Amino acid sequence: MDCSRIPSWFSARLDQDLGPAEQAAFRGHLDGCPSCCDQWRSFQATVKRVHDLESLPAPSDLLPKILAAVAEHPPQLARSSWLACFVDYWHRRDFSVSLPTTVATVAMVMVLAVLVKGSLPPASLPDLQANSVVAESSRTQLTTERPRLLVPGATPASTARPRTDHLSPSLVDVLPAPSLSFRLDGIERPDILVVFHDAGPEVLATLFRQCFAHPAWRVGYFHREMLLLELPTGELPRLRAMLAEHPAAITPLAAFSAGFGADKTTLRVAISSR
Amino acid sequence: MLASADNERLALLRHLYSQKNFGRHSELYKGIGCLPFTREYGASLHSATSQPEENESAELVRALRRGDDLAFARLVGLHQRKIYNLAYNYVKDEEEAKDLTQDIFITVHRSLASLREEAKFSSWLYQLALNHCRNRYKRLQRRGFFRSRSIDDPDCPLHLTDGESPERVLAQRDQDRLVRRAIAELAPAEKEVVLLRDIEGFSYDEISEILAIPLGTVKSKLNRARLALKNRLEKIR
Repeated sequence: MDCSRIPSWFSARLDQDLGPAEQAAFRGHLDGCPSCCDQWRSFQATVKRVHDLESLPAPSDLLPKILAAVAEHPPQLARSSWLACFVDYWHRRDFSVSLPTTVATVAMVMVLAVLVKGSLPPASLPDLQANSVVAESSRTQLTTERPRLLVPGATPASTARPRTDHLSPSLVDVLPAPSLSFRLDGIERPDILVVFHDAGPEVLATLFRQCFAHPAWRVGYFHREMLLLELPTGELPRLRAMLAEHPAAITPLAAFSAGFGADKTTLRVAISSR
Repeated sequence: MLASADNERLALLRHLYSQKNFGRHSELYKGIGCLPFTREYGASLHSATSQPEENESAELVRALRRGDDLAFARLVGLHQRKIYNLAYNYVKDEEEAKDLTQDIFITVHRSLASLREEAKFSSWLYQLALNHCRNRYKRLQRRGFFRSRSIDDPDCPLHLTDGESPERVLAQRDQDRLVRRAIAELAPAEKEVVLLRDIEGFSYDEISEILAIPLGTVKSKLNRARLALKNRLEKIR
Protein backbone atom coordinates (compact mmCIF):
# COMPACT_ATOMS: atom_id res chain seq x y z
CA MET A 1 0.00 0.00 0.00
CA ASP A 2 1.05 3.54 -0.74
CA CYS A 3 2.39 5.42 2.31
CA SER A 4 0.58 8.61 1.30
CA ARG A 5 -2.78 6.96 1.92
CA ILE A 6 -2.09 5.97 5.50
CA PRO A 7 -2.38 9.42 7.17
CA SER A 8 -5.89 9.86 5.77
CA TRP A 9 -6.93 6.85 7.88
CA PHE A 10 -5.45 8.07 11.16
CA SER A 11 -8.58 9.67 12.62
CA ALA A 12 -10.77 6.81 11.44
CA ARG A 13 -8.39 4.35 13.09
CA LEU A 14 -8.46 6.40 16.27
CA ASP A 15 -12.24 6.31 16.29
CA GLN A 16 -12.25 2.61 15.35
CA ASP A 17 -14.17 3.54 12.25
CA LEU A 18 -12.11 1.48 9.79
CA GLY A 19 -13.73 -1.57 8.23
CA PRO A 20 -12.11 -5.00 8.78
CA ALA A 21 -10.30 -4.94 5.43
CA GLU A 22 -8.99 -1.42 5.93
CA GLN A 23 -8.05 -2.22 9.49
CA ALA A 24 -6.02 -5.21 8.32
CA ALA A 25 -4.39 -3.20 5.55
CA PHE A 26 -3.57 -0.40 7.99
CA ARG A 27 -2.03 -2.76 10.51
CA GLY A 28 -0.19 -4.70 7.82
CA HIS A 29 1.31 -1.54 6.38
CA LEU A 30 2.41 -0.21 9.76
CA ASP A 31 4.08 -3.51 10.59
CA GLY A 32 6.30 -3.17 7.57
CA CYS A 33 6.79 0.60 7.44
CA PRO A 34 8.72 2.23 10.31
CA SER A 35 8.16 5.71 8.89
CA CYS A 36 4.37 5.39 8.88
CA CYS A 37 4.56 3.74 12.28
CA ASP A 38 6.35 6.84 13.64
CA GLN A 39 3.79 9.09 11.99
CA TRP A 40 0.97 7.14 13.61
CA ARG A 41 2.59 7.33 17.05
CA SER A 42 3.17 11.05 16.63
CA PHE A 43 -0.44 11.49 15.55
CA GLN A 44 -1.71 9.67 18.62
CA ALA A 45 0.55 11.69 20.87
CA THR A 46 -0.68 14.92 19.29
CA VAL A 47 -4.32 14.09 19.87
CA LYS A 48 -3.57 13.06 23.42
CA ARG A 49 -1.71 16.32 24.09
CA VAL A 50 -4.68 18.29 22.85
CA HIS A 51 -6.96 16.26 25.13
CA ASP A 52 -4.67 16.92 28.05
CA LEU A 53 -4.85 20.67 27.65
CA GLU A 54 -5.48 22.17 31.05
CA SER A 55 -8.79 23.96 31.20
CA LEU A 56 -8.36 27.55 32.33
CA PRO A 57 -10.66 28.75 35.09
CA ALA A 58 -13.09 31.47 34.09
CA PRO A 59 -12.10 34.90 35.43
CA SER A 60 -13.80 35.62 38.72
CA ASP A 61 -15.26 38.92 37.57
CA LEU A 62 -16.79 37.45 34.44
CA LEU A 63 -20.12 36.34 35.89
CA PRO A 64 -20.86 39.65 37.72
CA LYS A 65 -19.99 41.57 34.57
CA ILE A 66 -22.30 39.44 32.44
CA LEU A 67 -25.14 39.74 34.93
CA ALA A 68 -24.68 43.50 35.18
CA ALA A 69 -24.70 43.79 31.39
CA VAL A 70 -27.84 41.70 30.89
CA ALA A 71 -29.66 43.51 33.69
CA GLU A 72 -29.79 46.52 31.38
CA HIS A 73 -31.58 44.57 28.66
CA PRO A 74 -34.54 42.37 29.57
CA PRO A 75 -34.59 39.06 27.67
CA GLN A 76 -36.95 38.49 24.76
CA LEU A 77 -38.84 35.53 26.08
CA ALA A 78 -41.79 35.74 23.71
CA ARG A 79 -41.74 35.12 19.98
CA SER A 80 -40.63 38.34 18.36
CA SER A 81 -41.39 40.14 15.12
CA TRP A 82 -39.40 39.63 11.93
CA LEU A 83 -37.53 42.87 12.62
CA ALA A 84 -36.60 41.73 16.11
CA CYS A 85 -35.58 38.35 14.68
CA PHE A 86 -33.35 40.10 12.15
CA VAL A 87 -31.74 42.27 14.82
CA ASP A 88 -31.31 39.21 16.99
CA TYR A 89 -29.74 37.30 14.07
CA TRP A 90 -27.39 40.20 13.48
CA HIS A 91 -26.31 40.22 17.11
CA ARG A 92 -25.86 36.48 17.17
CA ARG A 93 -23.65 36.59 14.09
CA ASP A 94 -21.65 39.37 15.74
CA PHE A 95 -20.75 40.99 12.43
CA SER A 96 -17.85 43.36 12.50
CA VAL A 97 -20.10 46.24 11.46
CA SER A 98 -22.87 47.42 13.72
CA LEU A 99 -26.44 47.30 12.51
CA PRO A 100 -27.02 51.10 12.54
CA THR A 101 -23.83 51.64 10.55
CA THR A 102 -24.92 49.11 7.97
CA VAL A 103 -28.42 50.56 7.69
CA ALA A 104 -26.96 54.06 7.30
CA THR A 105 -24.52 52.85 4.63
CA VAL A 106 -27.22 51.07 2.66
CA ALA A 107 -29.47 54.15 2.85
CA MET A 108 -26.63 56.38 1.68
CA VAL A 109 -25.85 54.09 -1.25
CA MET A 110 -29.52 54.10 -2.27
CA VAL A 111 -29.70 57.92 -2.12
CA LEU A 112 -26.51 58.18 -4.14
CA ALA A 113 -27.85 55.74 -6.71
CA VAL A 114 -31.04 57.81 -7.09
CA LEU A 115 -29.04 61.03 -7.39
CA VAL A 116 -26.67 59.58 -9.97
CA LYS A 117 -29.54 58.11 -11.95
CA GLY A 118 -31.37 61.46 -11.90
CA SER A 119 -28.33 63.36 -13.09
CA LEU A 120 -27.77 61.15 -16.14
CA PRO A 121 -28.87 62.65 -19.48
CA PRO A 122 -31.93 60.98 -21.02
CA ALA A 123 -31.19 58.38 -23.64
CA SER A 124 -31.53 59.81 -27.13
CA LEU A 125 -34.29 58.62 -29.35
CA PRO A 126 -33.08 56.31 -32.05
CA ASP A 127 -33.01 57.63 -35.50
CA LEU A 128 -36.55 56.87 -36.45
CA GLN A 129 -36.21 58.23 -39.91
CA ALA A 130 -33.79 55.45 -40.73
CA ASN A 131 -36.63 53.06 -40.19
CA SER A 132 -38.42 52.37 -43.43
CA VAL A 133 -41.80 52.07 -41.74
CA VAL A 134 -41.39 55.43 -40.15
CA ALA A 135 -40.19 56.93 -43.40
CA GLU A 136 -43.45 55.78 -44.96
CA SER A 137 -45.68 57.10 -42.22
CA SER A 138 -43.97 60.03 -40.65
CA ARG A 139 -44.60 63.40 -42.10
CA THR A 140 -43.49 65.50 -39.24
CA GLN A 141 -39.72 65.16 -39.35
CA LEU A 142 -39.32 63.54 -36.00
CA THR A 143 -35.61 63.85 -35.35
CA THR A 144 -33.27 62.60 -32.71
CA GLU A 145 -33.03 66.10 -31.28
CA ARG A 146 -36.61 65.95 -30.14
CA PRO A 147 -36.94 65.63 -26.40
CA ARG A 148 -38.31 62.47 -24.99
CA LEU A 149 -42.06 62.41 -24.88
CA LEU A 150 -43.27 62.46 -21.30
CA VAL A 151 -46.15 60.14 -20.76
CA PRO A 152 -47.65 60.08 -17.26
CA GLY A 153 -46.35 57.06 -15.39
CA ALA A 154 -44.02 56.05 -18.18
CA THR A 155 -41.48 53.39 -17.30
CA PRO A 156 -38.19 52.36 -18.87
CA ALA A 157 -38.35 49.73 -21.56
CA SER A 158 -36.38 47.24 -19.52
CA THR A 159 -39.47 46.08 -17.63
CA ALA A 160 -40.98 42.99 -19.17
CA ARG A 161 -44.31 43.74 -20.72
CA PRO A 162 -46.37 41.67 -23.09
CA ARG A 163 -46.99 42.51 -26.72
CA THR A 164 -44.41 45.22 -27.15
CA ASP A 165 -41.99 43.40 -29.41
CA HIS A 166 -43.64 44.82 -32.48
CA LEU A 167 -43.08 48.42 -31.39
CA SER A 168 -40.21 50.68 -32.15
CA PRO A 169 -37.77 50.87 -29.19
CA SER A 170 -38.40 54.57 -28.80
CA LEU A 171 -42.08 53.94 -28.35
CA VAL A 172 -41.67 51.02 -26.03
CA ASP A 173 -39.41 53.20 -23.99
CA VAL A 174 -42.17 55.56 -23.02
CA LEU A 175 -45.10 53.20 -22.78
CA PRO A 176 -47.07 53.66 -19.60
CA ALA A 177 -46.66 51.06 -16.91
CA PRO A 178 -49.34 48.35 -16.77
CA SER A 179 -50.36 49.58 -13.35
CA LEU A 180 -51.23 53.01 -14.68
CA SER A 181 -54.70 54.16 -13.77
CA PHE A 182 -56.30 53.55 -17.15
CA ARG A 183 -58.71 51.15 -15.57
CA LEU A 184 -61.33 53.84 -15.21
CA ASP A 185 -61.61 53.95 -18.95
CA GLY A 186 -61.59 50.19 -19.36
CA ILE A 187 -58.23 50.31 -21.15
CA GLU A 188 -55.48 48.94 -19.06
CA ARG A 189 -52.44 48.51 -21.23
CA PRO A 190 -52.11 50.56 -24.39
CA ASP A 191 -49.36 49.22 -26.59
CA ILE A 192 -49.38 51.66 -29.46
CA LEU A 193 -48.38 55.25 -29.14
CA VAL A 194 -49.32 57.85 -31.70
CA VAL A 195 -47.40 61.06 -31.31
CA PHE A 196 -48.76 64.39 -32.36
CA HIS A 197 -46.30 67.01 -33.33
CA ASP A 198 -47.35 70.61 -32.67
CA ALA A 199 -51.00 69.69 -32.44
CA GLY A 200 -53.15 72.62 -31.44
CA PRO A 201 -56.42 72.41 -29.50
CA GLU A 202 -58.49 72.55 -32.68
CA VAL A 203 -56.65 69.60 -34.18
CA LEU A 204 -57.08 67.60 -31.03
CA ALA A 205 -60.74 68.49 -30.71
CA THR A 206 -61.32 67.39 -34.29
CA LEU A 207 -59.47 64.17 -33.71
CA PHE A 208 -61.39 63.40 -30.55
CA ARG A 209 -64.71 64.10 -32.27
CA GLN A 210 -63.75 61.78 -35.12
CA CYS A 211 -62.81 59.05 -32.68
CA PHE A 212 -66.09 59.32 -30.82
CA ALA A 213 -67.94 59.26 -34.10
CA HIS A 214 -66.96 55.63 -34.67
CA PRO A 215 -69.32 53.46 -32.61
CA ALA A 216 -67.03 50.42 -32.79
CA TRP A 217 -64.07 52.27 -31.33
CA ARG A 218 -63.60 52.34 -27.64
CA VAL A 219 -62.27 55.67 -26.47
CA GLY A 220 -60.68 56.31 -23.09
CA TYR A 221 -58.35 58.59 -21.22
CA PHE A 222 -58.87 61.40 -23.64
CA HIS A 223 -57.51 64.74 -22.71
CA ARG A 224 -55.03 67.22 -23.91
CA GLU A 225 -52.10 64.92 -23.84
CA MET A 226 -53.31 61.47 -24.51
CA LEU A 227 -56.06 59.48 -26.03
CA LEU A 228 -56.52 55.76 -25.82
CA LEU A 229 -58.39 53.66 -28.30
CA GLU A 230 -59.45 50.08 -28.57
CA LEU A 231 -60.14 49.13 -32.12
CA PRO A 232 -61.59 46.00 -33.62
CA THR A 233 -59.04 44.63 -36.06
CA GLY A 234 -60.98 45.59 -39.11
CA GLU A 235 -61.05 49.20 -38.08
CA LEU A 236 -57.35 49.73 -38.44
CA PRO A 237 -57.46 51.08 -42.03
CA ARG A 238 -60.03 53.62 -40.92
CA LEU A 239 -57.76 54.81 -38.13
CA ARG A 240 -54.94 55.02 -40.61
CA ALA A 241 -57.06 57.09 -42.97
CA MET A 242 -58.20 59.33 -40.17
CA LEU A 243 -54.68 59.98 -38.99
CA ALA A 244 -53.61 60.74 -42.55
CA GLU A 245 -55.93 63.74 -42.48
CA HIS A 246 -54.01 65.22 -39.62
CA PRO A 247 -50.68 66.60 -40.80
CA ALA A 248 -49.39 66.82 -37.29
CA ALA A 249 -49.89 63.15 -36.55
CA ILE A 250 -47.15 60.65 -36.38
CA THR A 251 -49.02 57.44 -36.84
CA PRO A 252 -48.34 54.35 -34.77
CA LEU A 253 -45.44 52.54 -36.32
CA ALA A 254 -46.61 49.06 -35.61
CA ALA A 255 -50.08 49.76 -36.86
CA PHE A 256 -48.72 50.20 -40.35
CA SER A 257 -46.82 46.95 -40.42
CA ALA A 258 -48.48 44.22 -42.42
CA GLY A 259 -48.89 41.59 -39.73
CA PHE A 260 -49.90 43.87 -36.92
CA GLY A 261 -52.97 42.82 -35.04
CA ALA A 262 -53.40 39.60 -37.01
CA ASP A 263 -53.77 37.50 -33.91
CA LYS A 264 -55.87 39.99 -31.94
CA THR A 265 -59.53 40.63 -31.66
CA THR A 266 -59.01 44.13 -30.36
CA LEU A 267 -56.24 46.66 -30.83
CA ARG A 268 -55.39 49.15 -28.17
CA VAL A 269 -54.08 52.47 -29.31
CA ALA A 270 -52.65 55.28 -27.29
CA ILE A 271 -52.52 58.70 -28.87
CA SER A 272 -50.47 61.36 -27.30
CA SER A 273 -49.70 64.92 -28.18
CA ARG A 274 -46.84 67.13 -27.24
CA MET B 1 -11.02 -10.72 42.19
CA LEU B 2 -9.45 -8.15 39.95
CA ALA B 3 -5.98 -8.64 38.54
CA SER B 4 -3.36 -5.97 39.27
CA ALA B 5 -3.54 -4.67 35.68
CA ASP B 6 -7.28 -4.24 36.09
CA ASN B 7 -6.70 -2.42 39.38
CA GLU B 8 -4.33 -0.03 37.64
CA ARG B 9 -6.86 0.60 34.94
CA LEU B 10 -9.57 1.23 37.47
CA ALA B 11 -7.34 3.64 39.40
CA LEU B 12 -6.57 5.45 36.18
CA LEU B 13 -10.24 5.53 35.31
CA ARG B 14 -11.11 6.98 38.69
CA HIS B 15 -8.44 9.61 38.24
CA LEU B 16 -9.66 10.52 34.77
CA TYR B 17 -13.25 10.42 35.87
CA SER B 18 -12.46 13.15 38.36
CA GLN B 19 -10.91 15.30 35.61
CA LYS B 20 -12.82 17.85 33.63
CA ASN B 21 -14.83 16.63 30.67
CA PHE B 22 -13.80 13.03 31.12
CA GLY B 23 -17.11 11.75 29.86
CA ARG B 24 -16.70 13.56 26.60
CA HIS B 25 -13.15 12.32 26.21
CA SER B 26 -13.64 8.72 27.15
CA GLU B 27 -14.36 7.62 23.60
CA LEU B 28 -11.17 9.21 22.36
CA TYR B 29 -8.98 7.70 25.06
CA LYS B 30 -10.40 4.35 24.14
CA GLY B 31 -9.42 4.92 20.51
CA ILE B 32 -5.90 5.91 21.43
CA GLY B 33 -5.53 2.70 23.31
CA CYS B 34 -4.06 4.09 26.50
CA LEU B 35 -7.24 2.98 28.25
CA PRO B 36 -8.14 -0.44 26.92
CA PHE B 37 -11.60 -0.55 28.43
CA THR B 38 -14.56 -1.70 26.42
CA ARG B 39 -16.58 0.50 24.11
CA GLU B 40 -19.71 -0.10 26.18
CA TYR B 41 -18.09 1.04 29.39
CA GLY B 42 -16.78 4.18 27.76
CA ALA B 43 -20.15 4.89 26.21
CA SER B 44 -21.93 4.56 29.51
CA LEU B 45 -19.47 6.95 31.17
CA HIS B 46 -19.94 9.40 28.36
CA SER B 47 -23.68 9.53 28.73
CA ALA B 48 -23.44 9.50 32.54
CA THR B 49 -21.48 12.75 32.61
CA SER B 50 -22.76 14.79 29.68
CA GLN B 51 -26.47 14.06 29.76
CA PRO B 52 -27.16 15.50 33.24
CA GLU B 53 -25.49 18.71 32.17
CA GLU B 54 -27.71 18.87 29.10
CA ASN B 55 -30.76 18.18 31.25
CA GLU B 56 -29.76 20.82 33.74
CA SER B 57 -29.23 23.37 30.99
CA ALA B 58 -32.61 22.58 29.48
CA GLU B 59 -34.24 22.91 32.89
CA LEU B 60 -32.53 26.25 33.48
CA VAL B 61 -33.64 27.53 30.07
CA ARG B 62 -37.22 26.55 30.89
CA ALA B 63 -36.93 28.27 34.29
CA LEU B 64 -35.54 31.37 32.63
CA ARG B 65 -38.44 31.40 30.21
CA ARG B 66 -40.81 31.15 33.13
CA GLY B 67 -39.22 34.31 34.52
CA ASP B 68 -36.79 32.84 37.06
CA ASP B 69 -34.06 35.50 37.22
CA LEU B 70 -31.58 33.27 39.02
CA ALA B 71 -31.71 30.69 36.26
CA PHE B 72 -29.58 32.77 33.94
CA ALA B 73 -26.84 33.20 36.55
CA ARG B 74 -26.81 29.43 37.07
CA LEU B 75 -26.76 28.86 33.33
CA VAL B 76 -23.76 31.15 32.92
CA GLY B 77 -22.07 29.51 35.90
CA LEU B 78 -22.57 26.11 34.28
CA HIS B 79 -21.10 27.03 30.91
CA GLN B 80 -18.82 30.03 31.40
CA ARG B 81 -15.64 28.04 31.89
CA LYS B 82 -16.09 26.01 28.71
CA ILE B 83 -17.06 29.04 26.66
CA TYR B 84 -14.18 31.06 28.09
CA ASN B 85 -11.76 28.28 27.17
CA LEU B 86 -13.23 27.98 23.71
CA ALA B 87 -12.82 31.72 23.20
CA TYR B 88 -9.33 31.69 24.65
CA ASN B 89 -8.20 28.82 22.43
CA TYR B 90 -9.71 30.59 19.45
CA VAL B 91 -8.23 34.07 19.85
CA LYS B 92 -5.38 33.18 22.23
CA ASP B 93 -5.76 36.28 24.37
CA GLU B 94 -7.16 36.47 27.87
CA GLU B 95 -8.73 39.91 27.62
CA GLU B 96 -10.30 39.19 24.25
CA ALA B 97 -11.53 35.82 25.49
CA LYS B 98 -13.12 37.48 28.50
CA ASP B 99 -14.77 40.11 26.37
CA LEU B 100 -15.93 37.46 23.90
CA THR B 101 -17.41 35.29 26.64
CA GLN B 102 -19.28 38.28 28.00
CA ASP B 103 -20.63 39.13 24.55
CA ILE B 104 -21.63 35.53 23.96
CA PHE B 105 -23.67 35.30 27.14
CA ILE B 106 -25.25 38.68 26.58
CA THR B 107 -26.35 37.40 23.16
CA VAL B 108 -27.61 34.19 24.75
CA HIS B 109 -29.70 36.24 27.14
CA ARG B 110 -30.98 38.50 24.40
CA SER B 111 -31.87 35.83 21.89
CA LEU B 112 -33.07 32.97 24.03
CA ALA B 113 -36.44 33.22 22.30
CA SER B 114 -34.88 31.89 19.10
CA LEU B 115 -33.87 28.63 20.82
CA ARG B 116 -36.54 26.15 19.74
CA GLU B 117 -35.49 23.01 21.61
CA GLU B 118 -34.22 23.43 25.14
CA ALA B 119 -32.60 20.01 24.94
CA LYS B 120 -30.28 21.32 22.25
CA PHE B 121 -29.04 24.25 24.28
CA SER B 122 -25.38 23.16 24.13
CA SER B 123 -25.33 22.92 20.34
CA TRP B 124 -27.08 26.28 20.07
CA LEU B 125 -24.69 27.85 22.57
CA TYR B 126 -21.60 26.58 20.77
CA GLN B 127 -23.00 27.61 17.40
CA LEU B 128 -23.52 31.10 18.73
CA ALA B 129 -20.15 31.14 20.48
CA LEU B 130 -18.29 30.02 17.39
CA ASN B 131 -19.99 32.69 15.30
CA HIS B 132 -18.79 35.28 17.78
CA CYS B 133 -15.28 33.82 17.89
CA ARG B 134 -15.06 33.58 14.12
CA ASN B 135 -16.08 37.18 13.59
CA ARG B 136 -13.92 38.49 16.40
CA TYR B 137 -10.95 36.55 15.05
CA LYS B 138 -11.47 38.05 11.59
CA ARG B 139 -11.78 41.52 13.07
CA LEU B 140 -8.62 41.10 15.13
CA GLN B 141 -6.79 39.66 12.14
CA ARG B 142 -7.78 42.67 10.03
CA ARG B 143 -6.42 44.98 12.69
CA GLY B 144 -3.12 43.11 12.76
CA PHE B 145 -3.74 42.05 16.36
CA PHE B 146 -1.98 38.71 15.97
CA ARG B 147 1.04 40.23 14.28
CA SER B 148 1.55 42.83 16.98
CA ARG B 149 1.85 40.45 19.91
CA SER B 150 3.57 37.26 20.94
CA ILE B 151 1.37 34.24 20.69
CA ASP B 152 3.07 32.63 23.69
CA ASP B 153 1.44 34.97 26.21
CA PRO B 154 4.18 34.55 28.86
CA ASP B 155 2.17 36.61 31.29
CA CYS B 156 -0.54 33.99 31.52
CA PRO B 157 -1.08 33.57 35.29
CA LEU B 158 -0.41 30.28 36.99
CA HIS B 159 -3.62 28.56 38.05
CA LEU B 160 -2.90 26.20 40.92
CA THR B 161 -5.49 23.82 42.26
CA ASP B 162 -5.33 21.83 45.50
CA GLY B 163 -2.59 19.23 45.65
CA GLU B 164 -0.73 20.47 42.58
CA SER B 165 2.92 21.39 42.74
CA PRO B 166 4.07 24.52 40.91
CA GLU B 167 6.69 22.45 39.03
CA ARG B 168 4.11 20.12 37.63
CA VAL B 169 1.85 22.98 36.73
CA LEU B 170 4.70 24.82 35.05
CA ALA B 171 5.65 21.76 33.03
CA GLN B 172 2.04 21.25 32.06
CA ARG B 173 1.74 24.91 31.18
CA ASP B 174 4.77 24.72 28.90
CA GLN B 175 3.21 21.77 27.17
CA ASP B 176 -0.13 23.52 26.95
CA ARG B 177 1.44 26.67 25.62
CA LEU B 178 2.98 24.78 22.73
CA VAL B 179 -0.26 23.01 21.96
CA ARG B 180 -2.32 26.20 22.20
CA ARG B 181 0.14 27.97 19.96
CA ALA B 182 -0.11 25.19 17.40
CA ILE B 183 -3.91 25.30 17.60
CA ALA B 184 -3.90 29.09 17.30
CA GLU B 185 -1.94 28.83 14.08
CA LEU B 186 -4.48 26.54 12.44
CA ALA B 187 -6.93 27.93 9.92
CA PRO B 188 -10.28 28.83 11.57
CA ALA B 189 -12.16 25.93 9.93
CA GLU B 190 -9.56 23.41 11.13
CA LYS B 191 -9.31 25.04 14.53
CA GLU B 192 -13.05 24.76 15.08
CA VAL B 193 -13.25 21.01 14.48
CA VAL B 194 -10.25 20.39 16.73
CA LEU B 195 -11.70 22.55 19.49
CA LEU B 196 -15.10 20.92 19.27
CA ARG B 197 -13.91 17.34 18.98
CA ASP B 198 -10.62 17.09 20.82
CA ILE B 199 -11.14 19.69 23.53
CA GLU B 200 -14.88 19.99 24.00
CA GLY B 201 -15.44 16.34 23.15
CA PHE B 202 -18.51 16.71 20.95
CA SER B 203 -19.59 13.78 18.82
CA TYR B 204 -19.29 13.98 15.05
CA ASP B 205 -23.05 14.35 14.74
CA GLU B 206 -23.06 17.27 17.15
CA ILE B 207 -20.16 18.95 15.35
CA SER B 208 -21.94 18.46 12.07
CA GLU B 209 -24.99 20.21 13.54
CA ILE B 210 -23.03 23.02 15.17
CA LEU B 211 -20.94 23.81 12.11
CA ALA B 212 -23.75 23.00 9.66
CA ILE B 213 -21.52 20.82 7.51
CA PRO B 214 -21.94 17.17 6.46
CA LEU B 215 -20.64 14.39 8.67
CA GLY B 216 -18.07 13.28 6.11
CA THR B 217 -16.71 16.81 5.89
CA VAL B 218 -16.36 16.95 9.66
CA LYS B 219 -14.31 13.76 9.64
CA SER B 220 -12.08 14.78 6.78
CA LYS B 221 -11.56 18.27 8.22
CA LEU B 222 -10.71 16.84 11.61
CA ASN B 223 -8.15 14.46 10.17
CA ARG B 224 -6.58 17.27 8.16
CA ALA B 225 -6.54 19.53 11.20
CA ARG B 226 -4.97 16.89 13.41
CA LEU B 227 -2.29 16.18 10.82
CA ALA B 228 -1.59 19.90 10.51
CA LEU B 229 -1.41 20.14 14.28
CA LYS B 230 1.00 17.20 14.41
CA ASN B 231 3.25 18.82 11.82
CA ARG B 232 3.22 22.13 13.67
CA LEU B 233 3.98 20.52 17.01
CA GLU B 234 6.84 18.59 15.45
CA LYS B 235 8.25 21.87 14.13
CA ILE B 236 7.79 23.75 17.40
CA ARG B 237 9.28 21.00 19.52
